[in-house]
Amino acid sequence: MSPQMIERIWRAFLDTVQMVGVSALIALAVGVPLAVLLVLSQPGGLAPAPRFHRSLAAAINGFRATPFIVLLVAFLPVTRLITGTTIGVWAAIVPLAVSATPFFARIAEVSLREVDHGLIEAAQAMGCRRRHIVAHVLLPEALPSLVGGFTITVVTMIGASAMAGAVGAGGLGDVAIRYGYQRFDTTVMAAVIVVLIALVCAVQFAGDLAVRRLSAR
Amino acid sequence: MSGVVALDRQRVDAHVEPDLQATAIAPGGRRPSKTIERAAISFRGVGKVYVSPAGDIGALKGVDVDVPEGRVFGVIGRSGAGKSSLLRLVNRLEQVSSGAVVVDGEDVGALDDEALIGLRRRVGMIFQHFNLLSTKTVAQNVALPLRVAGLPRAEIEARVSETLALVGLEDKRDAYPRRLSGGQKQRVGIARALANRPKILLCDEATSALDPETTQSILGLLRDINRRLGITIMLITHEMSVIREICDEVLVLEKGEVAEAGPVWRVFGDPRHPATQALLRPLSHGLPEDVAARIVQLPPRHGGEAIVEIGLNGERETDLAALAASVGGQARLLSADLDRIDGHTQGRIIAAVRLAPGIRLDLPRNAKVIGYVAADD
Repeated sequence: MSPQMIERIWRAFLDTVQMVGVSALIALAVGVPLAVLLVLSQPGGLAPAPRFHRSLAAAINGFRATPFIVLLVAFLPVTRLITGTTIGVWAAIVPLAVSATPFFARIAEVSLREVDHGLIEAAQAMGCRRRHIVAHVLLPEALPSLVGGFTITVVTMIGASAMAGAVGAGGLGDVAIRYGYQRFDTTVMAAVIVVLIALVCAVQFAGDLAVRRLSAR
Repeated sequence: MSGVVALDRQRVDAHVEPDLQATAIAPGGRRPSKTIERAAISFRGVGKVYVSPAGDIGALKGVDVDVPEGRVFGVIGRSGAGKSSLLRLVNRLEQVSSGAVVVDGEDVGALDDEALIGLRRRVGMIFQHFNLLSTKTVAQNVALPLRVAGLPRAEIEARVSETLALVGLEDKRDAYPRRLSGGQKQRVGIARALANRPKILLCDEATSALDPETTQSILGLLRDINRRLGITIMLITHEMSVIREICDEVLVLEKGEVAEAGPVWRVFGDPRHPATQALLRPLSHGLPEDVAARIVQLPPRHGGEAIVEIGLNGERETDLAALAASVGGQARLLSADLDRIDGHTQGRIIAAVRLAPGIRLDLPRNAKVIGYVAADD
């Protein structure tokens, strides 16, 4: 492999990290509140609101049902509105975040729902308000599980980011498709796959480590 | 031991008179037996129905009972009797379906959110599975009710130290609950419940997950808290031994209704409802095995012994000599299940009385023949 190719893969690697990193942070920042809303508003929750719950759940399901590649194209106008462009890394971040947020919201919802109901009851019995219960019980108690779910989300997003090449966003997946698939350059493809595996393993390792640290108390 | 008066035969006979208030003798108890007291919690015609798609389930029906201030009030019943529901109505973890629960003068069911939070801060609660936050240290767990109540940091610090000292866990303040034993966890639970200096402490099967030794120490702590701080304790349990150990008053629930209620010694000494009798059975020894194997229902033809059960309901002190005289000259003591609760001796004695030809047994009213044993050949 030529030094240029190595340089190209390196830049693609950075693009992938940037795309996935930024959209993962967005998914985290939006997904957790969405999950909290889902759990609070569910029937029998702390602030039951069946109609709101159903609408929110339907919206989340809608985004989850749409294939990422379709989302990528369908969201072009929105992407242009937000980033001012429909190509490049930033253009991929919008659909990637839009796709990852509901995915993570659902995973986080499960984590929050698994918090022992007895703890919520104890908090209510001591005179906690809803916001106290969210801040002191739901989120801290679900934290290891939330981190585990976030790890899964990030790994899934690394896979999805391969399709971002369709809007010229670059990244590892794009290199693999252009050189490996379209130009039959097996070496490049193999190299990219190795880098992807290493990246996924690193993310998973970091996530597992964090979960273990958080649960060890 | 004031008020111990020897009873003559007539008084022993009067033992089972239903007019319980007529007792002239006030046995030395933990507290004066009759004082006018305020109710810390009043249940007034309380009903609770759980609405479910499969149909409504009635958990409580017409419960009318007062929990007197400063006492330890126990609620016992088999599982599904509704005791947990009853307890959870007090701080509105469950909403009452009919009737009213009045705590500290306030109708709990009618409180708005703000007032409910205020009430919950005046009513502590501990749980069977402790329900401690695993991500917070012991001190942080105890501090949480104070933090959410908006107390200043210095005050929180002082109260946390104070309550941890009260439960004997000063040295564990920075430990996480995972590192604690069951008994220590429940002590943290108690400290957390007391941090807000409540007037009432609710205990939801607080010792059911603990071994017997730890149960004793936790019950001792609760007793101590009740006496030293004057906190009213309402506890639910399925173990009569817990009631016997620390309660002043007991309410027996059966299928959501009050089966029996009153001072512990009275209910234990003279259990009238089948549910109470069933719950008390594990505490009594029953008939000794050698007697049980030989007992018959009809008097033997050639002499033998009558097996007599003498019940003491704790209403009066018992004169041993009078008791012996009442069963006649030739009586053997077989077994006794006696207990002294709150200054009242109650339980039952089983004796064998020799049958003499032509002489009828003249037993006191609290004694009855439960069978006969033929003489050894």
